[in-house]
Amino acid sequence: MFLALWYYFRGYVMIKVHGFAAERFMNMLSYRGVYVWDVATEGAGVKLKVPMGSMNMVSICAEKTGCRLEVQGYGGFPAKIRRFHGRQVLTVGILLFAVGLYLLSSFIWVIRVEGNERVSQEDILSYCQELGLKPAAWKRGVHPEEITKELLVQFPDISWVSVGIKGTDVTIKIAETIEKAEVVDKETPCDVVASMDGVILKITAERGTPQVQEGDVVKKGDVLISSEVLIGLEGEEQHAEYVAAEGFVTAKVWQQLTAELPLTYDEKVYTGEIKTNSILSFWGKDADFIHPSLEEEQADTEVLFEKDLALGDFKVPISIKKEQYNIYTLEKKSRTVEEAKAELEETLRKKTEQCLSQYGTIEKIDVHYEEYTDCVCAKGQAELTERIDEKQEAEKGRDAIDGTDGENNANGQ
Amino acid sequence: MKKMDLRRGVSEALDLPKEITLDLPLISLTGREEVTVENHKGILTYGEESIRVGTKAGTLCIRGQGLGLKQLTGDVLVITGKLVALEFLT
Repeated sequence: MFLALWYYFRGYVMIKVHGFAAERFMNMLSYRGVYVWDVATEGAGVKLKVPMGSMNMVSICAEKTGCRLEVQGYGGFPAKIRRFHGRQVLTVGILLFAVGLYLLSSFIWVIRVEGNERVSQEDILSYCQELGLKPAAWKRGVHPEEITKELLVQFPDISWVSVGIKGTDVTIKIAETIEKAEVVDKETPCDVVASMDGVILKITAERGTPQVQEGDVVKKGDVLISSEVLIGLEGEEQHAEYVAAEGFVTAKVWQQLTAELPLTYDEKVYTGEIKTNSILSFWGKDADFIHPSLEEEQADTEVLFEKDLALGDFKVPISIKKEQYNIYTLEKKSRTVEEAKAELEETLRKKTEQCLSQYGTIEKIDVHYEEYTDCVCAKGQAELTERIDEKQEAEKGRDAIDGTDGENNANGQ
Repeated sequence: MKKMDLRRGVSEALDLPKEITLDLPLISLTGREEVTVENHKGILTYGEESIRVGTKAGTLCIRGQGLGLKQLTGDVLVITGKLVALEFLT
Protein backbone atom coordinates (compact mmCIF):
# COMPACT_ATOMS: atom_id res chain seq x y z
CA MET A 1 0.00 0.00 0.00
CA PHE A 2 2.67 2.49 1.08
CA LEU A 3 4.97 1.18 -1.57
CA ALA A 4 2.33 1.89 -4.22
CA LEU A 5 1.80 5.38 -2.81
CA TRP A 6 5.53 6.01 -2.84
CA TYR A 7 5.79 4.93 -6.47
CA TYR A 8 2.74 7.01 -7.34
CA PHE A 9 4.63 10.11 -6.22
CA ARG A 10 7.83 8.95 -7.89
CA GLY A 11 5.99 8.29 -11.13
CA TYR A 12 5.63 5.02 -12.99
CA VAL A 13 5.60 3.59 -16.50
CA MET A 14 2.83 1.38 -17.84
CA ILE A 15 4.34 -1.23 -20.13
CA LYS A 16 3.11 -4.19 -22.05
CA VAL A 17 5.26 -7.24 -22.79
CA HIS A 18 4.67 -9.78 -25.54
CA GLY A 19 6.44 -13.11 -25.67
CA PHE A 20 6.42 -16.56 -24.21
CA ALA A 21 8.68 -15.77 -21.29
CA ALA A 22 6.70 -13.01 -19.61
CA GLU A 23 6.94 -14.88 -16.30
CA ARG A 24 10.70 -15.13 -16.60
CA PHE A 25 10.81 -11.42 -17.38
CA MET A 26 8.88 -10.62 -14.22
CA ASN A 27 10.97 -12.93 -12.10
CA MET A 28 14.11 -11.36 -13.41
CA LEU A 29 12.81 -7.88 -12.62
CA SER A 30 11.81 -8.77 -9.09
CA TYR A 31 15.07 -10.59 -8.54
CA ARG A 32 16.96 -7.47 -9.57
CA GLY A 33 14.97 -5.36 -7.16
CA VAL A 34 12.52 -3.72 -9.51
CA TYR A 35 9.10 -3.38 -7.98
CA VAL A 36 6.38 -4.67 -10.31
CA TRP A 37 2.68 -4.15 -9.64
CA ASP A 38 -0.80 -4.26 -11.17
CA VAL A 39 0.01 -7.13 -13.47
CA ALA A 40 -2.86 -8.15 -15.74
CA THR A 41 -3.09 -10.18 -18.89
CA GLU A 42 -4.24 -8.35 -21.95
CA GLY A 43 -4.72 -10.35 -25.08
CA ALA A 44 -1.55 -12.24 -25.76
CA GLY A 45 0.64 -10.04 -23.61
CA VAL A 46 0.92 -8.91 -20.01
CA LYS A 47 0.38 -5.36 -18.83
CA LEU A 48 2.31 -4.15 -15.81
CA LYS A 49 3.60 -1.09 -14.04
CA VAL A 50 7.21 -0.38 -13.14
CA PRO A 51 8.86 2.63 -11.48
CA MET A 52 9.99 5.55 -13.64
CA GLY A 53 13.71 5.20 -12.95
CA SER A 54 13.97 1.51 -13.75
CA MET A 55 13.35 1.60 -17.51
CA ASN A 56 17.01 0.77 -18.19
CA MET A 57 16.81 -2.44 -16.23
CA VAL A 58 13.43 -3.24 -17.74
CA SER A 59 14.76 -3.01 -21.30
CA ILE A 60 17.82 -5.13 -20.41
CA CYS A 61 15.60 -7.83 -18.89
CA ALA A 62 13.27 -7.75 -21.88
CA GLU A 63 16.18 -8.22 -24.22
CA LYS A 64 17.59 -11.09 -22.15
CA THR A 65 14.28 -12.94 -21.96
CA GLY A 66 13.40 -12.23 -25.58
CA CYS A 67 10.26 -10.27 -24.81
CA ARG A 68 8.93 -7.47 -26.91
CA LEU A 69 8.47 -4.30 -24.83
CA GLU A 70 5.90 -1.66 -25.47
CA VAL A 71 5.55 1.51 -23.40
CA GLN A 72 1.86 2.32 -23.04
CA GLY A 73 2.04 5.47 -20.97
CA TYR A 74 3.27 7.30 -17.96
CA GLY A 75 1.40 7.67 -14.74
CA GLY A 76 1.69 9.04 -11.26
CA PHE A 77 2.22 12.47 -9.86
CA PRO A 78 5.06 13.69 -12.15
CA ALA A 79 2.99 12.76 -15.18
CA LYS A 80 0.02 14.68 -13.80
CA ILE A 81 2.25 17.72 -13.25
CA ARG A 82 3.55 17.45 -16.79
CA ARG A 83 0.02 17.84 -18.09
CA PHE A 84 -0.07 21.36 -16.67
CA HIS A 85 3.12 22.25 -18.47
CA GLY A 86 2.74 25.46 -20.43
CA ARG A 87 -0.49 26.56 -18.78
CA GLN A 88 0.59 29.95 -17.43
CA VAL A 89 -2.82 31.24 -16.42
CA LEU A 90 -3.38 28.22 -14.20
CA THR A 91 0.02 28.67 -12.59
CA VAL A 92 -0.68 32.36 -12.01
CA GLY A 93 -4.05 31.43 -10.54
CA ILE A 94 -2.52 28.97 -8.12
CA LEU A 95 0.08 31.53 -7.09
CA LEU A 96 -2.54 34.25 -6.64
CA PHE A 97 -4.61 31.87 -4.55
CA ALA A 98 -1.65 31.15 -2.30
CA VAL A 99 -0.80 34.85 -1.97
CA GLY A 100 -4.45 35.73 -1.30
CA LEU A 101 -4.68 33.08 1.37
CA TYR A 102 -1.55 34.38 3.02
CA LEU A 103 -2.70 38.01 2.87
CA LEU A 104 -6.20 37.30 4.17
CA SER A 105 -4.82 35.23 7.01
CA SER A 106 -2.60 38.08 8.15
CA PHE A 107 -5.58 40.22 9.14
CA ILE A 108 -7.85 39.90 12.14
CA TRP A 109 -11.41 39.11 11.16
CA VAL A 110 -13.24 38.00 14.27
CA ILE A 111 -13.09 39.41 17.79
CA ARG A 112 -14.81 37.58 20.62
CA VAL A 113 -15.26 38.69 24.19
CA GLU A 114 -15.78 36.03 26.83
CA GLY A 115 -16.55 36.19 30.52
CA ASN A 116 -18.04 39.68 30.69
CA GLU A 117 -21.21 40.20 32.68
CA ARG A 118 -21.31 43.76 33.87
CA VAL A 119 -18.91 45.35 31.42
CA SER A 120 -20.69 45.49 28.09
CA GLN A 121 -19.15 43.91 25.05
CA GLU A 122 -19.65 47.08 23.03
CA ASP A 123 -17.60 49.14 25.50
CA ILE A 124 -14.73 46.68 25.37
CA LEU A 125 -14.83 46.43 21.60
CA SER A 126 -14.99 50.18 21.07
CA TYR A 127 -12.06 50.70 23.41
CA CYS A 128 -10.15 47.95 21.59
CA GLN A 129 -10.86 49.77 18.37
CA GLU A 130 -9.20 52.88 19.80
CA LEU A 131 -6.19 50.73 20.62
CA GLY A 132 -6.07 49.44 17.06
CA LEU A 133 -7.68 46.06 17.58
CA LYS A 134 -10.59 45.89 15.18
CA PRO A 135 -11.78 43.64 12.37
CA ALA A 136 -9.56 43.94 9.29
CA ALA A 137 -6.62 45.15 11.36
CA TRP A 138 -3.14 44.02 10.36
CA LYS A 139 -2.14 41.19 12.69
CA ARG A 140 1.42 42.41 13.16
CA GLY A 141 0.16 45.77 14.41
CA VAL A 142 -1.74 44.22 17.32
CA HIS A 143 0.15 43.82 20.55
CA PRO A 144 -1.83 41.66 22.99
CA GLU A 145 0.27 42.65 26.04
CA GLU A 146 -0.40 46.36 25.53
CA ILE A 147 -4.10 45.79 25.00
CA THR A 148 -4.23 43.70 28.15
CA LYS A 149 -2.62 46.50 30.16
CA GLU A 150 -4.78 49.23 28.65
CA LEU A 151 -7.98 47.30 29.22
CA LEU A 152 -7.08 46.74 32.88
CA VAL A 153 -6.44 50.46 33.30
CA GLN A 154 -9.56 51.56 31.45
CA PHE A 155 -12.09 49.25 33.10
CA PRO A 156 -11.81 49.07 36.88
CA ASP A 157 -14.41 46.29 36.96
CA ILE A 158 -12.04 43.93 35.15
CA SER A 159 -9.55 42.08 37.28
CA TRP A 160 -7.90 39.86 34.66
CA VAL A 161 -7.65 39.98 30.88
CA SER A 162 -6.08 37.68 28.36
CA VAL A 163 -5.93 38.62 24.70
CA GLY A 164 -5.18 35.65 22.49
CA ILE A 165 -4.69 35.65 18.75
CA LYS A 166 -5.41 32.31 17.11
CA GLY A 167 -5.38 32.38 13.35
CA THR A 168 -7.56 35.29 12.34
CA ASP A 169 -9.59 35.21 15.58
CA VAL A 170 -8.95 37.26 18.66
CA THR A 171 -10.42 36.04 21.92
CA ILE A 172 -10.53 38.49 24.80
CA LYS A 173 -11.08 36.55 28.00
CA ILE A 174 -12.14 38.57 30.98
CA ALA A 175 -12.58 37.97 34.70
CA GLU A 176 -14.56 40.62 36.47
CA THR A 177 -14.04 41.89 39.99
CA ILE A 178 -16.53 41.09 42.73
CA GLU A 179 -19.39 43.54 42.58
CA LYS A 180 -19.31 46.28 45.18
CA ALA A 181 -22.33 46.52 47.43
CA GLU A 182 -24.56 49.46 46.61
CA VAL A 183 -23.89 52.23 49.07
CA VAL A 184 -27.00 53.90 50.42
CA ASP A 185 -26.25 57.44 51.31
CA LYS A 186 -27.32 57.86 54.91
CA GLU A 187 -25.20 60.89 55.60
CA THR A 188 -26.54 63.66 53.39
CA PRO A 189 -29.75 64.96 54.94
CA CYS A 190 -32.74 64.61 52.70
CA ASP A 191 -36.52 64.78 52.91
CA VAL A 192 -39.13 62.47 51.54
CA VAL A 193 -41.59 64.46 49.44
CA ALA A 194 -44.72 63.60 47.52
CA SER A 195 -44.25 62.75 43.87
CA MET A 196 -47.90 63.46 43.05
CA ASP A 197 -51.12 64.78 44.56
CA GLY A 198 -53.18 62.42 46.65
CA VAL A 199 -54.65 61.34 49.96
CA ILE A 200 -52.29 59.49 52.28
CA LEU A 201 -53.32 55.93 53.01
CA LYS A 202 -50.34 54.73 54.95
CA ILE A 203 -47.07 56.23 56.07
CA THR A 204 -44.11 54.31 57.49
CA ALA A 205 -41.02 56.29 58.37
CA GLU A 206 -37.78 54.44 58.74
CA ARG A 207 -35.77 57.55 59.52
CA GLY A 208 -36.93 61.11 60.00
CA THR A 209 -40.07 62.72 61.36
CA PRO A 210 -43.39 62.09 59.64
CA GLN A 211 -45.08 65.34 58.73
CA VAL A 212 -48.42 64.02 57.54
CA GLN A 213 -51.01 61.57 58.81
CA GLU A 214 -53.25 59.05 57.20
CA GLY A 215 -56.10 60.81 55.45
CA ASP A 216 -54.16 64.02 54.83
CA VAL A 217 -54.36 65.60 51.43
CA VAL A 218 -50.95 66.30 49.96
CA LYS A 219 -49.83 68.17 46.90
CA LYS A 220 -46.91 67.30 44.75
CA GLY A 221 -43.70 68.42 46.39
CA ASP A 222 -45.03 68.48 49.97
CA VAL A 223 -42.65 67.14 52.58
CA LEU A 224 -43.94 63.81 53.88
CA ILE A 225 -41.07 62.76 56.11
CA SER A 226 -38.81 65.51 57.32
CA SER A 227 -35.10 65.14 57.76
CA GLU A 228 -35.26 67.08 60.98
CA VAL A 229 -35.30 64.96 64.10
CA LEU A 230 -35.73 66.60 67.45
CA ILE A 231 -33.67 65.05 70.20
CA GLY A 232 -34.61 65.48 73.81
CA LEU A 233 -37.79 65.10 75.85
CA GLU A 234 -40.78 67.22 75.15
CA GLY A 235 -40.92 70.38 77.12
CA GLU A 236 -37.22 70.28 77.82
CA GLU A 237 -34.38 71.63 75.83
CA GLN A 238 -34.45 70.12 72.39
CA HIS A 239 -32.03 70.29 69.55
CA ALA A 240 -32.47 69.19 65.98
CA GLU A 241 -30.38 66.76 64.04
CA TYR A 242 -30.66 66.16 60.35
CA VAL A 243 -30.81 62.70 58.88
CA ALA A 244 -31.40 61.13 55.51
CA ALA A 245 -35.11 60.52 55.80
CA GLU A 246 -36.45 57.29 54.42
CA GLY A 247 -39.83 55.72 54.39
CA PHE A 248 -42.69 54.19 52.55
CA VAL A 249 -45.78 56.25 51.79
CA THR A 250 -48.81 55.02 49.90
CA ALA A 251 -51.60 57.29 48.84
CA LYS A 252 -54.81 57.28 46.93
CA VAL A 253 -54.29 59.23 43.75
CA TRP A 254 -56.55 60.09 40.86
CA GLN A 255 -55.78 60.20 37.24
CA GLN A 256 -57.81 61.83 34.48
CA LEU A 257 -58.12 59.93 31.27
CA THR A 258 -59.72 60.71 27.96
CA ALA A 259 -60.15 58.66 24.87
CA GLU A 260 -62.13 58.89 21.69
CA LEU A 261 -63.26 56.32 19.19
CA PRO A 262 -65.01 56.94 15.88
CA LEU A 263 -68.03 54.81 15.07
CA THR A 264 -66.98 54.15 11.51
CA TYR A 265 -63.54 53.00 10.64
CA ASP A 266 -61.49 51.39 7.91
CA GLU A 267 -60.31 47.88 8.34
CA LYS A 268 -57.50 46.27 6.42
CA VAL A 269 -58.62 43.15 4.67
CA TYR A 270 -55.68 41.20 3.34
CA THR A 271 -56.35 39.79 -0.07
CA GLY A 272 -53.81 37.05 0.48
CA GLU A 273 -51.80 38.28 -2.46
CA ILE A 274 -48.12 38.49 -1.61
CA LYS A 275 -45.28 40.00 -3.56
CA THR A 276 -41.66 39.63 -2.60
CA ASN A 277 -38.73 41.80 -3.44
CA SER A 278 -35.01 41.28 -2.99
CA ILE A 279 -32.90 44.36 -2.50
CA LEU A 280 -29.16 44.77 -2.62
CA SER A 281 -27.86 47.88 -0.87
CA PHE A 282 -24.48 49.52 -1.18
CA TRP A 283 -23.43 52.04 1.46
CA GLY A 284 -27.01 52.16 2.72
CA LYS A 285 -28.45 52.97 -0.69
CA ASP A 286 -30.84 50.45 -2.12
CA ALA A 287 -30.15 49.22 -5.58
CA ASP A 288 -33.66 48.03 -6.22
CA PHE A 289 -33.52 46.89 -9.82
CA ILE A 290 -36.48 44.60 -9.96
CA HIS A 291 -39.32 46.11 -8.04
CA PRO A 292 -42.69 44.37 -8.20
CA SER A 293 -45.42 46.61 -9.51
CA LEU A 294 -47.74 47.86 -6.77
CA GLU A 295 -49.86 50.28 -8.76
CA GLU A 296 -52.83 51.57 -6.84
CA GLU A 297 -52.48 48.74 -4.40
CA GLN A 298 -52.02 49.25 -0.72
CA ALA A 299 -49.59 46.98 0.97
CA ASP A 300 -47.89 46.43 4.28
CA THR A 301 -44.18 45.90 4.03
CA GLU A 302 -42.73 43.08 6.03
CA VAL A 303 -38.99 42.52 6.10
CA LEU A 304 -38.35 38.81 5.78
CA PHE A 305 -34.65 38.98 6.38
CA GLU A 306 -31.87 41.50 6.35
CA LYS A 307 -28.24 40.58 6.31
CA ASP A 308 -25.10 42.65 6.21
CA LEU A 309 -22.30 41.00 4.36
CA ALA A 310 -19.19 40.66 6.45
CA LEU A 311 -15.74 39.18 6.43
CA GLY A 312 -15.64 37.78 9.93
CA ASP A 313 -16.60 40.80 12.03
CA PHE A 314 -15.53 43.28 9.37
CA LYS A 315 -18.62 44.81 7.84
CA VAL A 316 -18.60 45.15 4.09
CA PRO A 317 -20.93 48.03 3.09
CA ILE A 318 -23.19 45.71 1.17
CA SER A 319 -26.37 44.25 2.54
CA ILE A 320 -29.09 41.98 1.28
CA LYS A 321 -32.70 42.54 2.18
CA LYS A 322 -35.77 40.61 1.32
CA GLU A 323 -39.15 42.23 1.68
CA GLN A 324 -42.65 40.94 1.41
CA TYR A 325 -45.64 43.06 0.51
CA ASN A 326 -48.94 41.93 1.95
CA ILE A 327 -51.58 43.54 -0.21
CA TYR A 328 -54.79 44.67 1.44
CA THR A 329 -57.92 46.61 0.64
CA LEU A 330 -59.66 49.01 2.98
CA GLU A 331 -63.20 48.21 3.95
CA LYS A 332 -65.55 50.61 5.67
CA LYS A 333 -66.91 49.17 8.87
CA SER A 334 -68.97 50.54 11.70
CA ARG A 335 -69.40 49.63 15.32
CA THR A 336 -72.31 50.14 17.67
CA VAL A 337 -72.13 52.51 20.61
CA GLU A 338 -71.97 49.59 23.06
CA GLU A 339 -69.03 48.05 21.27
CA ALA A 340 -67.27 51.39 21.23
CA LYS A 341 -67.84 51.85 24.96
CA ALA A 342 -66.44 48.43 25.77
CA GLU A 343 -63.44 49.07 23.62
CA LEU A 344 -62.85 52.49 25.16
CA GLU A 345 -62.96 51.11 28.67
CA GLU A 346 -60.40 48.55 27.72
CA THR A 347 -58.06 51.18 26.25
CA LEU A 348 -58.42 53.37 29.33
CA ARG A 349 -57.58 50.45 31.60
CA LYS A 350 -54.53 49.66 29.53
CA LYS A 351 -53.39 53.26 29.62
CA THR A 352 -53.69 53.32 33.39
CA GLU A 353 -51.78 50.09 33.77
CA GLN A 354 -48.94 51.50 31.73
CA CYS A 355 -48.65 54.47 34.13
CA LEU A 356 -48.59 52.29 37.24
CA SER A 357 -45.37 51.71 39.15
CA GLN A 358 -44.55 48.25 40.46
CA TYR A 359 -46.13 49.07 43.86
CA GLY A 360 -49.35 50.53 42.49
CA THR A 361 -52.77 48.96 42.08
CA ILE A 362 -55.91 50.15 40.35
CA GLU A 363 -58.80 50.59 42.77
CA LYS A 364 -61.48 51.50 40.28
CA ILE A 365 -62.07 53.38 37.07
CA ASP A 366 -65.10 55.61 36.63
CA VAL A 367 -65.91 56.32 33.04
CA HIS A 368 -68.64 58.41 31.54
CA TYR A 369 -69.29 58.58 27.87
CA GLU A 370 -70.36 61.35 25.56
CA GLU A 371 -72.05 60.10 22.45
CA TYR A 372 -71.83 62.02 19.22
CA THR A 373 -73.15 61.11 15.82
CA ASP A 374 -69.89 59.76 14.50
CA CYS A 375 -67.86 59.03 17.59
CA VAL A 376 -67.89 58.24 21.29
CA CYS A 377 -65.83 60.23 23.78
CA ALA A 378 -64.84 58.69 27.08
CA LYS A 379 -63.74 60.67 30.11
CA GLY A 380 -62.56 58.63 33.00
CA GLN A 381 -61.15 58.99 36.42
CA ALA A 382 -58.98 56.22 37.70
CA GLU A 383 -58.50 55.75 41.38
CA LEU A 384 -55.16 54.24 42.21
CA THR A 385 -53.19 53.21 45.24
CA GLU A 386 -49.69 54.30 44.52
CA ARG A 387 -46.42 54.74 46.28
CA ILE A 388 -45.68 58.46 46.26
CA ASP A 389 -42.52 58.85 48.33
CA GLU A 390 -39.61 60.51 46.59
CA LYS A 391 -36.30 61.61 48.00
CA GLN A 392 -35.28 65.21 47.74
CA GLU A 393 -32.18 66.74 49.18
CA ALA A 394 -33.07 68.87 52.16
CA GLU A 395 -32.97 72.56 51.33
CA LYS A 396 -31.89 73.39 54.83
CA GLY A 397 -28.86 71.15 54.69
CA ARG A 398 -25.76 72.18 56.65
CA ASP A 399 -26.72 75.80 56.98
CA ALA A 400 -29.78 74.77 58.90
CA ILE A 401 -27.64 72.78 61.32
CA ASP A 402 -25.47 75.79 61.89
CA GLY A 403 -28.58 77.87 62.34
CA THR A 404 -30.00 75.57 65.03
CA ASP A 405 -26.67 75.49 66.76
CA GLY A 406 -26.85 79.24 66.93
CA GLU A 407 -30.37 79.02 68.28
CA ASN A 408 -29.32 76.59 70.95
CA ASN A 409 -26.57 78.92 71.95
CA ALA A 410 -29.04 81.75 72.15
CA ASN A 411 -31.29 79.63 74.35
CA GLY A 412 -28.37 78.77 76.53
CA GLN A 413 -27.54 82.36 77.10
CA MET B 1 18.69 -33.77 3.82
CA LYS B 2 20.20 -34.40 7.20
CA LYS B 3 21.06 -30.76 7.54
CA MET B 4 17.43 -29.89 6.81
CA ASP B 5 16.19 -32.25 9.50
CA LEU B 6 18.58 -30.74 12.01
CA ARG B 7 17.32 -27.27 11.20
CA ARG B 8 13.76 -28.42 11.51
CA GLY B 9 14.47 -30.00 14.86
CA VAL B 10 16.19 -26.90 16.19
CA SER B 11 13.48 -24.51 15.03
CA GLU B 12 10.81 -26.76 16.44
CA ALA B 13 12.62 -27.07 19.75
CA LEU B 14 13.24 -23.34 20.03
CA ASP B 15 9.87 -22.42 18.50
CA LEU B 16 11.48 -20.27 15.79
CA PRO B 17 9.48 -19.11 12.76
CA LYS B 18 9.96 -21.73 10.06
CA GLU B 19 9.52 -19.34 7.12
CA ILE B 20 12.84 -17.81 8.17
CA THR B 21 14.84 -20.75 9.37
CA LEU B 22 13.62 -23.20 6.72
CA ASP B 23 12.90 -20.58 4.00
CA LEU B 24 9.36 -21.90 3.65
CA PRO B 25 6.63 -19.80 2.00
CA LEU B 26 4.19 -17.91 4.23
CA ILE B 27 0.82 -17.84 2.52
CA SER B 28 -1.88 -15.49 3.80
CA LEU B 29 -5.43 -15.40 2.49
CA THR B 30 -7.77 -12.47 2.76
CA GLY B 31 -11.22 -13.92 2.26
CA ARG B 32 -11.20 -15.45 -1.17
CA GLU B 33 -10.06 -12.34 -2.96
CA GLU B 34 -6.42 -11.86 -2.12
CA VAL B 35 -3.51 -14.15 -1.43
CA THR B 36 -0.09 -13.02 -0.26
CA VAL B 37 2.86 -15.31 -0.74
CA GLU B 38 6.05 -14.40 1.07
CA ASN B 39 9.37 -16.14 0.42
CA HIS B 40 8.41 -17.16 -3.10
CA LYS B 41 10.92 -18.33 -5.67
CA GLY B 42 9.42 -16.73 -8.77
CA ILE B 43 6.41 -17.07 -11.03
CA LEU B 44 6.34 -20.14 -13.23
CA THR B 45 3.26 -19.50 -15.34
CA TYR B 46 0.93 -16.58 -15.41
CA GLY B 47 -2.68 -16.46 -16.59
CA GLU B 48 -6.11 -15.20 -15.66
CA GLU B 49 -7.35 -18.64 -14.59
CA SER B 50 -4.27 -19.97 -12.88
CA ILE B 51 -0.95 -18.75 -11.62
CA ARG B 52 1.90 -21.07 -10.63
CA VAL B 53 4.39 -19.83 -8.07
CA GLY B 54 7.58 -21.62 -7.21
CA THR B 55 8.27 -22.05 -3.51
CA LYS B 56 10.64 -24.06 -1.36
CA ALA B 57 7.73 -26.31 -0.40
CA GLY B 58 6.89 -27.08 -4.01
CA THR B 59 5.01 -25.47 -6.86
CA LEU B 60 1.96 -23.60 -5.63
CA CYS B 61 -0.86 -23.49 -8.13
CA ILE B 62 -3.46 -20.81 -7.51
CA ARG B 63 -6.64 -21.21 -9.50
CA GLY B 64 -9.46 -18.73 -9.78
CA GLN B 65 -11.25 -16.27 -12.02
CA GLY B 66 -9.85 -12.95 -13.23
CA LEU B 67 -6.57 -13.36 -11.39
CA GLY B 68 -4.07 -10.53 -11.43
CA LEU B 69 -0.72 -9.80 -9.87
CA LYS B 70 -1.16 -6.78 -7.64
CA GLN B 71 2.46 -6.49 -6.69
CA LEU B 72 5.67 -8.38 -7.17
CA THR B 73 8.93 -7.84 -5.33
CA GLY B 74 11.90 -10.06 -4.63
CA ASP B 75 10.19 -11.92 -1.79
CA VAL B 76 6.54 -10.90 -1.70
CA LEU B 77 3.83 -11.33 -4.26
CA VAL B 78 0.18 -10.44 -3.95
CA ILE B 79 -2.45 -12.02 -6.20
CA THR B 80 -6.01 -10.72 -6.42
CA GLY B 81 -9.07 -12.14 -8.09
CA LYS B 82 -11.78 -14.62 -7.23
CA LEU B 83 -9.90 -17.57 -5.74
CA VAL B 84 -11.05 -21.13 -6.29
CA ALA B 85 -8.18 -23.38 -5.18
CA LEU B 86 -4.69 -23.40 -3.78
CA GLU B 87 -2.79 -26.55 -4.58
CA PHE B 88 0.78 -27.86 -4.15
CA LEU B 89 1.70 -29.74 -7.28
CA THR B 90 4.84 -31.65 -6.16
